[in-house]
Amino acid sequence: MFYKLKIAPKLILFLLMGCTLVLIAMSYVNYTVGKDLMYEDMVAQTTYMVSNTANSIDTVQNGISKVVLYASSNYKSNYSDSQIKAMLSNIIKYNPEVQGSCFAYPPDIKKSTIYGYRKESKIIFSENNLDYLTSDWFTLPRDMESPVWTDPYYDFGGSEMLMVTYSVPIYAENSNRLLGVITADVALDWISSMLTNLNESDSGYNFLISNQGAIISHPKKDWVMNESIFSIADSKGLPLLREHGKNMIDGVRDFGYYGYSDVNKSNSHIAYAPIKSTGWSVANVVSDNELFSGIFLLNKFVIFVGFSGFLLLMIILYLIATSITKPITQLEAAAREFANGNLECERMSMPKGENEITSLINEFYKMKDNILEQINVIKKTTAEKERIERELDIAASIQQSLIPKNFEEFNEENIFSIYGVLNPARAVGGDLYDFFKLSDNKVGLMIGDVSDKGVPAALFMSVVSTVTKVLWNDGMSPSEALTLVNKEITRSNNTNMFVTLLFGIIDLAEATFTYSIAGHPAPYVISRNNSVVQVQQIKGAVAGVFDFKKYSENTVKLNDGDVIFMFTDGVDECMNADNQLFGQKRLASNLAEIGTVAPNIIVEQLVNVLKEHAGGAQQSDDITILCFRFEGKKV
Amino acid sequence: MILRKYNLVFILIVMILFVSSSAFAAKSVTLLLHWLPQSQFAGYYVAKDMGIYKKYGLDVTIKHAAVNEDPFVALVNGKVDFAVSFLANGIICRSNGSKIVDIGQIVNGSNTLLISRESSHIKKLSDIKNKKVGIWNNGVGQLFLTLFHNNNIAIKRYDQSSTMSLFLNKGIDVCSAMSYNEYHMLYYAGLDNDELNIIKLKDLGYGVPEDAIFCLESMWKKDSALAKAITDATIQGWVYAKTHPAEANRSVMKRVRAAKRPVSEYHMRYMLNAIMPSIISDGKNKKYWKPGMLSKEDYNKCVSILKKSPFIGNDVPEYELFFKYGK
Repeated sequence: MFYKLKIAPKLILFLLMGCTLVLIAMSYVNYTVGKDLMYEDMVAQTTYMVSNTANSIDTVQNGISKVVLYASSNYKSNYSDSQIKAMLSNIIKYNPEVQGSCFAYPPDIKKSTIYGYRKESKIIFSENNLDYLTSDWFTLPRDMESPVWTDPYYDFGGSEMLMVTYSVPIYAENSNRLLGVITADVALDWISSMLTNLNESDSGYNFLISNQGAIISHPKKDWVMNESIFSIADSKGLPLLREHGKNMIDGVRDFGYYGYSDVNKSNSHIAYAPIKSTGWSVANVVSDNELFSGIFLLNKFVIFVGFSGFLLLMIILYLIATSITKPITQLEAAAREFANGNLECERMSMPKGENEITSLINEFYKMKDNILEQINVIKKTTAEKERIERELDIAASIQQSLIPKNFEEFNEENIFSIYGVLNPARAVGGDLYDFFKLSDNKVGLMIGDVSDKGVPAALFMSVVSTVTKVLWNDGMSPSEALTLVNKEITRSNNTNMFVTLLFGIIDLAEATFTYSIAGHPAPYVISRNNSVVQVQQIKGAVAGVFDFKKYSENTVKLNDGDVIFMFTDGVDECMNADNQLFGQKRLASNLAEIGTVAPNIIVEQLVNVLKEHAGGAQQSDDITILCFRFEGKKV
Repeated sequence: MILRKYNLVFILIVMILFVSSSAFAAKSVTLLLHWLPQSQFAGYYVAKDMGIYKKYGLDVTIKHAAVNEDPFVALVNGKVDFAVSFLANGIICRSNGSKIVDIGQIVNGSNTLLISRESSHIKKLSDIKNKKVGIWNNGVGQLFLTLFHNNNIAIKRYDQSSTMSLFLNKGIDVCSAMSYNEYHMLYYAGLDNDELNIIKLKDLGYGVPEDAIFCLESMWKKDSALAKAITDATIQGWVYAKTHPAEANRSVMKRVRAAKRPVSEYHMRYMLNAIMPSIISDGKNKKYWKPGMLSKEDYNKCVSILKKSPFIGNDVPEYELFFKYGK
């Protein structure tokens, strides 16, 4: 998927991916750590606030309970109604939070209560015999034999308000006989306003529940007294709230998730703390939006920073990637142009600084310069080579011109025919052959092989050929001519080269072949009966090395139709790819097979046989053949 | 045209007759319920509010007894025409010489419980011995007291009010409870079921029918149709409440709020659902009964329980003499 991408986008993509991962990880860690810290801070703050509220209420409630306890401890069983009223008046007068105060006799003394309550800054007393015997404010302290705070209730026949009451049972001295119950009523309105005032931070709302879970104060007025935290938890489907409620009535201080709050109209958290004197619990319910506003802000900030970081990173990466790849791209274009043959393309501008890229560009141009220089050298060398080849061609044609090819002109019908070939291994060769008329009845034949090959051998061969032509006149036998030629070329030979030579004379009238040899293979004579006989080899040193006193010679009789087959060692030493020599034995048998046909046919067929033998192998030596067929005596 | 005119006159006459019969012939009666306003009496409220009593020719004034008030006192004294109380209380009242009759057995199931905290380890009846027990003081408590008396279990009796404060503040070990009311009040005070031990009276052989409508025998003799009408209308009220719970709840809450009782609306909804199967049988727990009917079997079971009761008088009536619905 990515391998087709160019370097710059690939670099940007992968670096961006990597950096984004790191960025996300860092943002996540930052966010979670920040969130945890903020959460802890918030929990501490909210819990502290609620605890403060609880303590403030506690102080007031504690004050009320102390006043009532004090009054109860001072009560005497012989108090008259007016004394009781004075006692109740004091409780109400000096405690603005107390709405009313009551003294109730137990029914075994008399079924009666004295109740004083605040009305328009006056204290009004009423005596009534309502069925207080079933009211919690009377039965609870009586049956529990201890002071209690009641759950909220509606005070019929008195202040006609929702209230809670602190009730203290009074017992006779030194006995457990109940003398009465004394109470202080606190209006729920008053508690609500206190709770509202305490909620200084103005975040969320406070509510208050009794030790039985009954709602004493709540922004939802119709819940007050009627509902409990558990009925709300049940009806609103807030199972966590039930757990919180149980904690609250157990006097636990805590903080946790509330669920969806109807009042806040959002998911909320709750913090609560107990009011020790009453066993009540105060709670603060704050919407998550408000509570986590800091965290949400942090969240937004982290997203913003992350996103800006991402953009910035993208821009930086783009700039870096392009600054790195721009010279590479330019270099690539230059290389492509160069590869397409524009060798003189302009040098690209160098990027600033010194780095791998600049040295790559430098090396590329150095390489380009070297290639151009090499090309120039090659051009020169090629021109030189071409010139030499041209000269060699000329030399070859000159050399070939030294070799006679006028076989048809030279042949004498019914007397003799001759044919030769010289195939040099290189452009020019070191072999030679020649034939010429020494007199009317005598034909001179020569074949030779210079020890080297190539131009020096060719030049040497020219010398030998020229010297032979100049020196060999018609009165000389082959051995005399060979001795003379050897003497001449040895004298002028400053090189270490030498030449093998075979000089022969055909006496057309006598039908003889006289020959002299200087280190050259002896020729074959093919007879009409297809016998192939190599003439006798004559010992004699190769020519051109030292002044050999006298070469000897030999004469063989020729029959009509005999063919003299002269050759250089390029024939029998012709090698194939496996370095196998053609060999004189195979040569003799091939000649026997060919028979005494016309010399040109013999030569052509043998050359084909040699080619066949060599296969594709490169020709290692010059191949030279001179073939003479004697038809009959000249009369 | 003439025919049409006669038709119109005929319709007018019928309308006048109907209005006068319902408005002028309606008998004013008072009905005293044996507890504070709550869904336990939803059928009565609905019968009144939806005009069912009126349809039966009744103009019923519904009254509620105070927490400590035995409704038979008012009934016997002629302060009210009809009173609702437990069957057992009615039998006790009659056995002690007050000529009252059961004219409709409204609650046919048993909902009575004894509840203690799990931590108090009161698991069976005998564990209650010498414990502080909350007992209602309005006559209903007599069934519970009979249970303790018959089983020779001495208790420390405390008056139980309409709130659960005494139990919740651990002033008593055991409270009396109705499964549709106090049991659920405790749940709404934060006590989970697994925090409570519950003894069902019916598991102890004390499962007897509860709320019934009573009137004086003399009144029934004078106008048995009236007695039948109030029971029929009340049952109609309950049937309506069952099919229209939202309207029933409205009727209940109207009275609860007027009485300024500290009562949860959600608790009232629960109570209506909880008490309904013991009024209109759903066939799940017991054989079907015709609403309002008291079986002789149930009556005799109740009598046999009460025979050893300290409250029972000498004049225990026969079933036929005591139960008069549909006669």
